[in-house]
Amino acid sequence: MSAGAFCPICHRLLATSQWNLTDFTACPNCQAPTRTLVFPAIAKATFSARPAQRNETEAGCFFHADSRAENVCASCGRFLCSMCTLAFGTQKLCPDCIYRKRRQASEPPFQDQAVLFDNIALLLLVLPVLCFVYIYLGLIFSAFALAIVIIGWRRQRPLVPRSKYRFVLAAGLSLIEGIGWIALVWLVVWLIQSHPTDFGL
Amino acid sequence: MSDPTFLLSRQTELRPAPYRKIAATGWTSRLLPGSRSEIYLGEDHLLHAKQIMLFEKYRRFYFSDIEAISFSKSNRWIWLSVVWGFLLFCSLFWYLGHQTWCYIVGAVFCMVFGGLLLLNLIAGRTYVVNIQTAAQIRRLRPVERENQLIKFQQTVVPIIMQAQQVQQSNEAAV
Repeated sequence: MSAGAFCPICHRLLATSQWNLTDFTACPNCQAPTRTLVFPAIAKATFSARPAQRNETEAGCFFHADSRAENVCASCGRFLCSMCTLAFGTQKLCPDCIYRKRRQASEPPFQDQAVLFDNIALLLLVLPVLCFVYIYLGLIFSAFALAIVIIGWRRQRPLVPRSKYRFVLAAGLSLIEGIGWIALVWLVVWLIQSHPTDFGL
Repeated sequence: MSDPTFLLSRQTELRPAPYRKIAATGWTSRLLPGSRSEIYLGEDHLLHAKQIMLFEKYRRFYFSDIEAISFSKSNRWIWLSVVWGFLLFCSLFWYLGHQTWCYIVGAVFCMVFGGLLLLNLIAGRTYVVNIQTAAQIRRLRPVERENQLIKFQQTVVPIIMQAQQVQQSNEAAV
Protein backbone atom coordinates (compact mmCIF):
# COMPACT_ATOMS: atom_id res chain seq x y z
CA MET A 1 0.00 0.00 0.00
CA SER A 2 1.36 3.41 -0.92
CA ALA A 3 1.95 6.08 1.71
CA GLY A 4 -0.88 8.33 0.49
CA ALA A 5 -1.31 11.77 -1.02
CA PHE A 6 0.72 14.74 0.15
CA CYS A 7 0.04 18.47 0.53
CA PRO A 8 1.86 20.43 -2.22
CA ILE A 9 2.80 23.23 0.22
CA CYS A 10 3.98 21.49 3.41
CA HIS A 11 4.54 17.99 1.93
CA ARG A 12 2.74 16.37 4.85
CA LEU A 13 0.32 13.49 4.46
CA LEU A 14 -3.30 14.43 3.69
CA ALA A 15 -6.21 12.62 5.30
CA THR A 16 -8.04 10.11 3.12
CA SER A 17 -11.25 12.06 3.79
CA GLN A 18 -9.73 14.86 1.69
CA TRP A 19 -9.29 12.71 -1.39
CA ASN A 20 -11.32 13.39 -4.55
CA LEU A 21 -13.50 16.13 -3.09
CA THR A 22 -15.06 18.64 -5.50
CA ASP A 23 -14.06 21.61 -3.36
CA PHE A 24 -10.91 22.78 -1.63
CA THR A 25 -10.30 21.77 1.98
CA ALA A 26 -7.70 23.08 4.42
CA CYS A 27 -4.58 21.00 4.86
CA PRO A 28 -4.53 19.72 8.48
CA ASN A 29 -0.92 20.92 8.90
CA CYS A 30 -0.45 24.19 6.99
CA GLN A 31 -4.13 25.13 6.51
CA ALA A 32 -3.54 25.82 2.79
CA PRO A 33 -6.66 25.27 0.66
CA THR A 34 -5.88 22.00 -1.08
CA ARG A 35 -7.58 19.66 -3.50
CA THR A 36 -6.33 16.18 -4.32
CA LEU A 37 -7.28 13.93 -7.20
CA VAL A 38 -6.38 10.38 -6.25
CA PHE A 39 -6.26 7.56 -8.80
CA PRO A 40 -6.64 3.80 -8.34
CA ALA A 41 -2.84 3.30 -8.65
CA ILE A 42 -2.46 4.58 -5.08
CA ALA A 43 -3.91 1.31 -3.79
CA LYS A 44 -1.43 -0.76 -5.81
CA ALA A 45 1.34 -2.45 -3.83
CA THR A 46 4.51 -0.54 -4.65
CA PHE A 47 7.08 -2.71 -2.93
CA SER A 48 6.74 -6.45 -3.15
CA ALA A 49 7.26 -8.56 -0.09
CA ARG A 50 10.33 -10.69 0.35
CA PRO A 51 10.75 -12.87 -2.78
CA ALA A 52 9.59 -16.47 -2.48
CA GLN A 53 12.22 -19.16 -1.90
CA ARG A 54 12.67 -21.52 -4.82
CA ASN A 55 12.33 -25.28 -4.80
CA GLU A 56 14.87 -27.50 -6.47
CA THR A 57 12.64 -27.92 -9.50
CA GLU A 58 12.05 -24.19 -10.02
CA ALA A 59 14.18 -21.67 -11.83
CA GLY A 60 16.10 -19.18 -9.69
CA CYS A 61 16.65 -15.46 -10.01
CA PHE A 62 19.83 -14.43 -11.84
CA PHE A 63 20.80 -12.07 -9.03
CA HIS A 64 19.45 -14.06 -6.06
CA ALA A 65 19.94 -17.76 -6.64
CA ASP A 66 17.77 -18.72 -3.63
CA SER A 67 14.74 -16.74 -4.83
CA ARG A 68 12.16 -18.11 -7.23
CA ALA A 69 12.17 -16.54 -10.73
CA GLU A 70 8.85 -14.86 -11.47
CA ASN A 71 9.62 -12.74 -14.53
CA VAL A 72 11.97 -12.59 -17.48
CA CYS A 73 13.84 -9.40 -18.38
CA ALA A 74 12.41 -8.07 -21.66
CA SER A 75 15.85 -6.93 -22.77
CA CYS A 76 18.44 -9.54 -21.77
CA GLY A 77 16.19 -12.50 -20.95
CA ARG A 78 17.51 -13.10 -17.42
CA PHE A 79 15.20 -14.75 -14.91
CA LEU A 80 14.20 -12.31 -12.20
CA CYS A 81 12.60 -12.60 -8.77
CA SER A 82 9.90 -10.16 -7.65
CA MET A 83 12.50 -7.93 -6.00
CA CYS A 84 14.69 -7.58 -9.11
CA THR A 85 11.81 -6.97 -11.54
CA LEU A 86 11.48 -3.29 -12.38
CA ALA A 87 8.46 -2.14 -14.36
CA PHE A 88 9.51 0.47 -16.90
CA GLY A 89 6.35 1.56 -18.68
CA THR A 90 4.92 -1.63 -20.12
CA GLN A 91 8.24 -3.51 -20.02
CA LYS A 92 9.69 -5.53 -17.15
CA LEU A 93 13.45 -5.15 -16.95
CA CYS A 94 16.35 -6.04 -14.70
CA PRO A 95 18.31 -3.26 -12.90
CA ASP A 96 21.38 -3.88 -15.09
CA CYS A 97 19.47 -3.30 -18.34
CA ILE A 98 17.86 -0.12 -17.05
CA TYR A 99 21.24 1.21 -15.94
CA ARG A 100 22.88 0.30 -19.28
CA LYS A 101 20.07 1.69 -21.42
CA ARG A 102 19.99 4.94 -19.47
CA ARG A 103 23.76 5.33 -19.85
CA GLN A 104 23.62 4.66 -23.59
CA ALA A 105 20.40 6.69 -24.09
CA SER A 106 20.03 4.86 -27.39
CA GLU A 107 16.26 4.47 -27.13
CA PRO A 108 13.90 7.40 -26.55
CA PRO A 109 12.17 5.86 -23.48
CA PHE A 110 15.52 5.75 -21.67
CA GLN A 111 16.74 9.19 -22.67
CA ASP A 112 16.52 11.46 -19.64
CA GLN A 113 18.36 14.51 -20.93
CA ALA A 114 19.48 16.16 -24.15
CA VAL A 115 22.35 18.55 -24.77
CA LEU A 116 21.19 21.77 -26.40
CA PHE A 117 23.99 22.58 -28.84
CA ASP A 118 22.13 25.62 -30.15
CA ASN A 119 22.08 27.20 -26.68
CA ILE A 120 25.80 26.42 -26.21
CA ALA A 121 26.62 28.14 -29.51
CA LEU A 122 24.53 31.19 -28.60
CA LEU A 123 26.15 31.36 -25.16
CA LEU A 124 29.61 31.25 -26.75
CA LEU A 125 28.64 34.22 -28.91
CA VAL A 126 27.00 36.33 -26.21
CA LEU A 127 29.44 35.65 -23.35
CA PRO A 128 32.60 37.27 -24.85
CA VAL A 129 30.65 40.40 -25.77
CA LEU A 130 29.24 40.71 -22.25
CA CYS A 131 32.61 39.98 -20.62
CA PHE A 132 34.53 42.37 -22.93
CA VAL A 133 36.91 39.59 -24.04
CA TYR A 134 35.54 39.87 -27.58
CA ILE A 135 38.34 42.31 -28.47
CA TYR A 136 40.98 39.66 -27.74
CA LEU A 137 39.26 36.34 -28.37
CA GLY A 138 36.29 37.22 -30.59
CA LEU A 139 37.47 35.21 -33.59
CA ILE A 140 38.21 32.09 -31.51
CA PHE A 141 34.81 32.20 -29.81
CA SER A 142 32.96 32.72 -33.09
CA ALA A 143 34.91 29.86 -34.73
CA PHE A 144 34.04 27.58 -31.79
CA ALA A 145 30.40 28.59 -32.00
CA LEU A 146 30.30 27.87 -35.74
CA ALA A 147 31.91 24.45 -35.15
CA ILE A 148 29.30 23.66 -32.47
CA VAL A 149 26.52 24.69 -34.87
CA ILE A 150 27.88 22.32 -37.53
CA ILE A 151 28.36 19.43 -35.06
CA GLY A 152 25.12 20.00 -33.19
CA TRP A 153 22.89 20.35 -36.27
CA ARG A 154 22.80 16.55 -36.60
CA ARG A 155 23.78 15.45 -33.09
CA GLN A 156 21.15 17.42 -31.16
CA ARG A 157 18.32 14.98 -30.58
CA PRO A 158 15.81 16.34 -28.09
CA LEU A 159 12.82 14.15 -27.31
CA VAL A 160 10.39 16.96 -27.92
CA PRO A 161 9.96 19.05 -31.08
CA ARG A 162 12.50 21.90 -31.18
CA SER A 163 12.92 24.48 -33.91
CA LYS A 164 16.27 24.87 -35.72
CA TYR A 165 16.02 28.66 -35.85
CA ARG A 166 18.50 29.00 -32.95
CA PHE A 167 21.11 27.17 -35.02
CA VAL A 168 20.53 29.53 -37.96
CA LEU A 169 20.71 32.51 -35.59
CA ALA A 170 23.93 31.22 -34.01
CA ALA A 171 25.52 30.56 -37.43
CA GLY A 172 24.59 34.05 -38.63
CA LEU A 173 25.84 35.69 -35.43
CA SER A 174 29.12 33.75 -35.49
CA LEU A 175 29.78 34.91 -39.06
CA ILE A 176 28.93 38.51 -38.16
CA GLU A 177 31.09 38.40 -35.02
CA GLY A 178 34.00 36.76 -36.86
CA ILE A 179 33.91 39.24 -39.75
CA GLY A 180 33.40 42.08 -37.26
CA TRP A 181 36.46 40.99 -35.28
CA ILE A 182 38.61 40.85 -38.45
CA ALA A 183 37.32 44.29 -39.48
CA LEU A 184 38.06 45.65 -35.99
CA VAL A 185 41.63 44.33 -36.04
CA TRP A 186 42.14 45.66 -39.59
CA LEU A 187 40.83 49.09 -38.47
CA VAL A 188 43.18 49.17 -35.47
CA VAL A 189 46.17 48.18 -37.63
CA TRP A 190 45.22 50.79 -40.26
CA LEU A 191 44.88 53.49 -37.58
CA ILE A 192 48.27 52.62 -36.09
CA GLN A 193 49.93 52.63 -39.51
CA SER A 194 48.33 55.90 -40.65
CA HIS A 195 48.82 57.80 -37.38
CA PRO A 196 51.82 56.19 -35.65
CA THR A 197 52.62 59.32 -33.60
CA ASP A 198 49.18 59.25 -31.94
CA PHE A 199 49.99 55.78 -30.60
CA GLY A 200 53.47 56.74 -29.39
CA LEU A 201 55.28 54.91 -32.21
CA MET B 1 24.20 -3.95 -41.49
CA SER B 2 22.69 -3.33 -44.90
CA ASP B 3 19.75 -5.64 -44.20
CA PRO B 4 16.65 -3.50 -44.93
CA THR B 5 14.71 -5.15 -42.10
CA PHE B 6 17.46 -4.23 -39.64
CA LEU B 7 17.62 -0.65 -40.96
CA LEU B 8 13.84 -0.27 -40.71
CA SER B 9 13.74 -1.57 -37.14
CA ARG B 10 16.72 0.67 -36.21
CA GLN B 11 15.01 3.74 -37.70
CA THR B 12 11.78 2.91 -35.89
CA GLU B 13 13.70 2.50 -32.66
CA LEU B 14 15.57 5.80 -32.97
CA ARG B 15 12.63 7.86 -34.19
CA PRO B 16 11.55 10.25 -31.42
CA ALA B 17 8.27 9.44 -29.75
CA PRO B 18 5.46 11.69 -30.95
CA TYR B 19 4.71 14.20 -28.23
CA ARG B 20 2.03 16.86 -28.09
CA LYS B 21 2.66 19.95 -25.99
CA ILE B 22 -0.19 20.56 -23.57
CA ALA B 23 1.28 23.20 -21.27
CA ALA B 24 4.30 25.45 -20.92
CA THR B 25 5.53 28.15 -18.58
CA GLY B 26 5.02 31.73 -19.77
CA TRP B 27 7.33 33.77 -22.02
CA THR B 28 8.90 35.47 -18.98
CA SER B 29 10.42 32.12 -18.00
CA ARG B 30 12.55 32.24 -21.17
CA LEU B 31 14.44 35.15 -19.63
CA LEU B 32 15.45 33.21 -16.49
CA PRO B 33 17.74 30.21 -17.04
CA GLY B 34 16.37 27.01 -15.58
CA SER B 35 12.82 28.19 -15.11
CA ARG B 36 11.38 27.08 -18.46
CA SER B 37 9.47 23.84 -18.41
CA GLU B 38 6.89 22.18 -20.60
CA ILE B 39 4.49 19.26 -20.33
CA TYR B 40 3.94 16.92 -23.26
CA LEU B 41 1.40 14.22 -23.79
CA GLY B 42 2.90 10.93 -24.97
CA GLU B 43 1.34 7.64 -25.97
CA ASP B 44 1.31 6.14 -22.48
CA HIS B 45 2.89 8.83 -20.34
CA LEU B 46 3.26 12.51 -19.56
CA LEU B 47 6.65 14.02 -20.26
CA HIS B 48 7.90 16.93 -18.17
CA ALA B 49 10.74 18.69 -20.00
CA LYS B 50 12.75 21.20 -17.99
CA GLN B 51 15.31 23.36 -19.71
CA ILE B 52 18.41 24.12 -17.64
CA MET B 53 20.36 26.47 -19.93
CA LEU B 54 22.45 24.01 -21.94
CA PHE B 55 20.50 20.85 -21.15
CA GLU B 56 16.95 19.64 -21.27
CA LYS B 57 15.96 17.21 -18.51
CA TYR B 58 13.06 14.82 -18.99
CA ARG B 59 10.79 13.18 -16.44
CA ARG B 60 8.18 10.65 -17.40
CA PHE B 61 4.93 9.95 -15.58
CA TYR B 62 3.28 6.81 -16.89
CA PHE B 63 -0.51 7.05 -16.79
CA SER B 64 -0.74 3.67 -15.12
CA ASP B 65 1.60 4.81 -12.30
CA ILE B 66 0.17 8.23 -11.45
CA GLU B 67 -1.22 8.03 -7.92
CA ALA B 68 -2.39 11.59 -7.31
CA ILE B 69 -2.48 15.15 -8.56
CA SER B 70 -2.63 17.65 -5.68
CA PHE B 71 -3.00 21.39 -5.92
CA SER B 72 -3.09 24.17 -3.37
CA LYS B 73 -4.10 27.79 -3.83
CA SER B 74 -1.15 30.18 -3.63
CA ASN B 75 -0.92 33.95 -3.24
CA ARG B 76 1.76 34.45 -5.89
CA TRP B 77 -0.65 36.09 -8.32
CA ILE B 78 -1.62 38.69 -5.68
CA TRP B 79 2.02 39.56 -5.02
CA LEU B 80 2.72 39.80 -8.74
CA SER B 81 -0.28 42.13 -9.15
CA VAL B 82 1.05 44.29 -6.30
CA VAL B 83 4.50 44.48 -7.91
CA TRP B 84 3.21 45.33 -11.41
CA GLY B 85 0.68 47.79 -9.93
CA PHE B 86 3.39 49.53 -7.91
CA LEU B 87 5.66 49.80 -10.98
CA LEU B 88 2.71 51.15 -12.99
CA PHE B 89 2.12 53.74 -10.26
CA CYS B 90 5.83 54.68 -10.30
CA SER B 91 5.67 55.09 -14.09
CA LEU B 92 3.08 57.84 -13.65
CA PHE B 93 5.76 60.04 -12.05
CA TRP B 94 7.24 60.60 -15.52
CA TYR B 95 4.20 62.79 -16.25
CA LEU B 96 5.40 65.28 -13.60
CA GLY B 97 8.22 66.19 -16.02
CA HIS B 98 5.92 68.42 -18.16
CA GLN B 99 8.03 67.74 -21.24
CA THR B 100 7.18 65.82 -24.37
CA TRP B 101 9.91 63.19 -23.99
CA CYS B 102 8.86 62.59 -20.36
CA TYR B 103 5.31 61.92 -21.54
CA ILE B 104 6.60 59.48 -24.17
CA VAL B 105 8.81 57.57 -21.71
CA GLY B 106 5.97 57.56 -19.15
CA ALA B 107 3.55 56.19 -21.74
CA VAL B 108 5.98 53.41 -22.68
CA PHE B 109 6.52 52.38 -19.04
CA CYS B 110 2.77 52.58 -18.32
CA MET B 111 2.03 50.37 -21.32
CA VAL B 112 4.66 47.79 -20.31
CA PHE B 113 3.71 47.51 -16.63
CA GLY B 114 0.00 47.99 -17.30
CA GLY B 115 0.19 45.19 -19.88
CA LEU B 116 1.98 42.90 -17.44
CA LEU B 117 -0.61 43.65 -14.75
CA LEU B 118 -3.44 42.97 -17.18
CA LEU B 119 -1.85 39.72 -18.38
CA ASN B 120 -1.35 38.60 -14.79
CA LEU B 121 -5.01 39.24 -13.99
CA ILE B 122 -6.24 37.56 -17.17
CA ALA B 123 -4.09 34.44 -16.53
CA GLY B 124 -6.03 33.92 -13.30
CA ARG B 125 -5.04 32.86 -9.83
CA THR B 126 -2.04 30.67 -9.09
CA TYR B 127 -1.75 27.19 -7.62
CA VAL B 128 1.04 24.90 -6.52
CA VAL B 129 0.52 21.66 -8.43
CA ASN B 130 2.21 18.36 -7.61
CA ILE B 131 2.02 15.07 -9.46
CA GLN B 132 2.75 11.93 -7.50
CA THR B 133 3.78 8.41 -8.46
CA ALA B 134 5.14 5.65 -6.23
CA ALA B 135 8.69 6.75 -7.01
CA GLN B 136 8.53 10.54 -7.26
CA ILE B 137 6.62 13.70 -6.45
CA ARG B 138 7.20 16.57 -8.86
CA ARG B 139 5.96 20.12 -9.04
CA LEU B 140 4.33 20.99 -12.36
CA ARG B 141 5.09 24.68 -12.94
CA PRO B 142 3.56 24.90 -16.43
CA VAL B 143 0.04 24.34 -15.05
CA GLU B 144 0.12 26.68 -12.06
CA ARG B 145 -2.35 29.17 -13.54
CA GLU B 146 -6.07 28.54 -13.18
CA ASN B 147 -6.86 28.36 -16.91
CA GLN B 148 -3.93 26.02 -17.57
CA LEU B 149 -4.81 23.80 -14.61
CA ILE B 150 -8.43 23.39 -15.72
CA LYS B 151 -7.33 22.54 -19.27
CA PHE B 152 -4.70 20.11 -17.93
CA GLN B 153 -7.24 18.33 -15.75
CA GLN B 154 -9.72 18.07 -18.61
CA THR B 155 -7.05 16.53 -20.85
CA VAL B 156 -5.13 14.29 -18.47
CA VAL B 157 -7.55 12.97 -15.84
CA PRO B 158 -9.75 10.96 -18.27
CA ILE B 159 -6.63 9.44 -19.87
CA ILE B 160 -5.21 8.40 -16.48
CA MET B 161 -8.53 6.91 -15.39
CA GLN B 162 -8.86 4.98 -18.63
CA ALA B 163 -5.27 3.67 -18.45
CA GLN B 164 -5.67 2.52 -14.86
CA GLN B 165 -9.06 0.89 -15.48
CA VAL B 166 -7.60 -1.05 -18.41
CA GLN B 167 -4.68 -2.12 -16.22
CA GLN B 168 -7.01 -3.22 -13.40
CA SER B 169 -9.16 -5.25 -15.79
CA ASN B 170 -6.02 -6.88 -17.24
CA GLU B 171 -4.77 -7.77 -13.77
CA ALA B 172 -8.19 -9.14 -12.83
CA ALA B 173 -8.18 -11.28 -15.98
CA VAL B 174 -4.77 -12.72 -15.07
